[in-house]
Amino acid sequence: MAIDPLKTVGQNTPRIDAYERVTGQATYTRDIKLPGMLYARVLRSNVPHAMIRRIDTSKAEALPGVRAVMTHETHKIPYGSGSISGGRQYSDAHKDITTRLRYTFNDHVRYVGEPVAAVAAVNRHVAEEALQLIEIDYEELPFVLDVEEAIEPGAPEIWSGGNIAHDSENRQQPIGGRTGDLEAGFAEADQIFEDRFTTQFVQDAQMEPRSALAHWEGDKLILHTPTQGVSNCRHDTARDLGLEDHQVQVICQYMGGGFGDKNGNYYFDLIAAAFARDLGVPVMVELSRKDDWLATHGRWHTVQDYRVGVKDDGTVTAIQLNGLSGMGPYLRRSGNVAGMDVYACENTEKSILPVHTNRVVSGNFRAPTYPQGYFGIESMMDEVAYKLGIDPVQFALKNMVRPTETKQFTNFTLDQCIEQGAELFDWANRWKPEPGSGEGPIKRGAGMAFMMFNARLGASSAILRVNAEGRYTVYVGVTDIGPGAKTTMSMLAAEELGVPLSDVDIVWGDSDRCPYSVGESGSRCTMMTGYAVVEAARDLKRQIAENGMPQGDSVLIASATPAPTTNGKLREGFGAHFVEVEVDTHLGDVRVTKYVTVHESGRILNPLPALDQIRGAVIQGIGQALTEDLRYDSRNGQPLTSGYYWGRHLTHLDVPQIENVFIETDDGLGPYGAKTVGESGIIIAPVAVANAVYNAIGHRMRDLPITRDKILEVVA
Amino acid sequence: MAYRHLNVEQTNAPASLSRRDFLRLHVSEGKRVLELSCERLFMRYQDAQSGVGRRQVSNHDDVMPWAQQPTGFDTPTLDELFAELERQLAEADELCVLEPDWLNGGAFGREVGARVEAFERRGGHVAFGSFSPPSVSNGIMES
Repeated sequence: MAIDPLKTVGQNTPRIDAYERVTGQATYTRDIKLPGMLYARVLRSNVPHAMIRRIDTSKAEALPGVRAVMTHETHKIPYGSGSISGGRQYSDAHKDITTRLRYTFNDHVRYVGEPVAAVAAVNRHVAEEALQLIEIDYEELPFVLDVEEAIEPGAPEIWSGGNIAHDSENRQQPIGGRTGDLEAGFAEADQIFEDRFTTQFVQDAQMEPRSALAHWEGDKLILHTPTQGVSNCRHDTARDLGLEDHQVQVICQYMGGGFGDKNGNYYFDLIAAAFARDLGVPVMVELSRKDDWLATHGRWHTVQDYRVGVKDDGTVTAIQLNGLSGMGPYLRRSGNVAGMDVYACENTEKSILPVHTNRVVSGNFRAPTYPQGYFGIESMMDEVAYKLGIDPVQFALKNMVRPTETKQFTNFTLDQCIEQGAELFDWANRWKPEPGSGEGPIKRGAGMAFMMFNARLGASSAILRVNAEGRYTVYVGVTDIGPGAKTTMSMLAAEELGVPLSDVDIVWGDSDRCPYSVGESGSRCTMMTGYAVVEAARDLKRQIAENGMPQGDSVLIASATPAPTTNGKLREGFGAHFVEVEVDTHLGDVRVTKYVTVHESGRILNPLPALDQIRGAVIQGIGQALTEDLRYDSRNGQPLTSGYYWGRHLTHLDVPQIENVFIETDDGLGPYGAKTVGESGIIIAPVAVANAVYNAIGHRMRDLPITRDKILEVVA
Repeated sequence: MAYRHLNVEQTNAPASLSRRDFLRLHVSEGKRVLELSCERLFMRYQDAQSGVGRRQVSNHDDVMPWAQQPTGFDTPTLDELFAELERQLAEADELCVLEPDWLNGGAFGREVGARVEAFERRGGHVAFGSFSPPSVSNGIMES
């Protein structure tokens, strides 16, 4: 489907704030200094599971320069964003009924890194010194790190009633459901395959460590914090402090990446607010890199058991998944595992139990439920294809979801993504029909995977005004977590108004100075807030046509809160990845030598950051496949690999040039047909790499990350 | 360094300053001066008019189909928004209307303008000015 070219949209456009960012002029939360402000640091539990018998802060309080010390004995502030059952962060009703409420400080500590005290002092050095003077007497409790051990009878109870997480009604039920007739599907199968796949916890690892600066004007809290959504953070914070929404102003002008780690509010927002309220001065809470690693959240680790029924001709007739997701001690998100719906098979069953452990909390990380799920399902299907002697590309084309009368899409390009990717990659020549058949110790192999990711529509707001000088100003509650939302919003306004981008200004990242915004998560900012910008621009054009341009001091103001729908159709972004790897069977080393992606994300509004997003996501995905892991010492429950180095996070230097092609379409929805980009690139990167490793060495790697020791173990 | 549990509703704001969303109240020479930010009021007006926050389902990409629908934000209705403005105006002696260009034309300008005029008819003093939000320069915020 060809798309009509546009004037501004679709052009490679550098970020409008690039200069400020790269010259250090951009003011991040930690850069802000207010008169008389104090600095706060957080003391964390150094044991995985314990009751605090006694906490003595007297020496810390006596240290010159210390202004206040906060513990569970002084402050009992619910931290709702981290505790709700059912994976929803913003359901106040659920907060009211949950029996597993988390507080900012808990006397029952459940993981290494849990906040146990905070100190506010004249500077960060005094605050850090004071932390060392706090004495805590722990009554240590048995701990559990493994999800399967956590649900065995007699396992240490992290919560009363057992370690299976509660749903929205305090029930311990699995996530999932059934479609079609599973038994009939297996009965129809010629062969049934079973296998287990496991994935690790990985940290979001955004560049900017967390911080929060709070001050009060009377009963109004002004909170500077790096958040992916000022509207939602405002509501979360107000709820946790017992305030009304209008009593909180959340400001985030610049932030250094989010990846889902900065959804909603965080406990340090509440600590900053409480200190500032009590002391009557601004207070900045700062997290170190290690704090950021061990005391925020990352992708949940999983155990996935698949059972697949298939006919001899390669048709999948039944898929069953039983799984466990490790959520840490507090349920911040659902623990769901995605991926099965990319197959056409109608007979399915999924049952996932979110399980509490004494590890760091799990939560959203770029396509929260997807990369781990796709690793499981597409490793399984890759294995089935080989067992049946079918080329994985042909197996994919045969079994992938397709439009039907009951399952309609706004547009569908998954087959194009796969076919075009196979051609660009030269699949026919790079893939080995006989896995592990290469000569010599360095073995090459090729793998592929395919995906779809919801490009949902929904409500968000934008305001647009123009003055007599012909300056247009867009008001949107975006915070620009990295993909360039400010630039995209400005481009959309310029395009629809038919004016140069340089005529458009933007006000963003302030819950008082912007209308409601859905925030930047779920790759929805462009589709929802961007569409509101287009609608506001249309309204403004109508006003200009009716009234002419404003004169003198007058302005014209337009606003929009559209709530578009797909009329029951599925709206998805599609993609396929093709990877070649070299595996050194003597050293166990895996090196990615070629990476080709084809994505359909609707119309690409700004190719420059869109390509960056795919590349960045792929690098994260390769890291998840090969290196990244938060390891624990099973003897004492201590995390061992925090930080970029020990966490083994990849950089651009660690991967080859990632070749990407966008198939551009316009389904008439979203802003000029734009769909999801930000999360799409990571979804199938881990499994595509894993499938390539199998093709290279002939051994299926079922546990991520695929480290040297695991390679050497199977090839020895 | 005895600490109380944080309970915002029981704490007292400084007598000289009170802030409520788009309003800022301070006492000057014995008079209660109310600053009205038209820009901020317009944002709340837009939210109240759209009602989007009240029906917001989730801002996250990890939506569980089996979970109950959450309650949404505490977005006031238009009536509640203007009732609050009237209540605050009733207690003020002077009104400083900031960023008045937001009142140009449209229903918003008429609604706010009518209340400002009513305030003036009651003997209140009205001034117009431009609001300067705290600026951040070289990392130093000037309040």
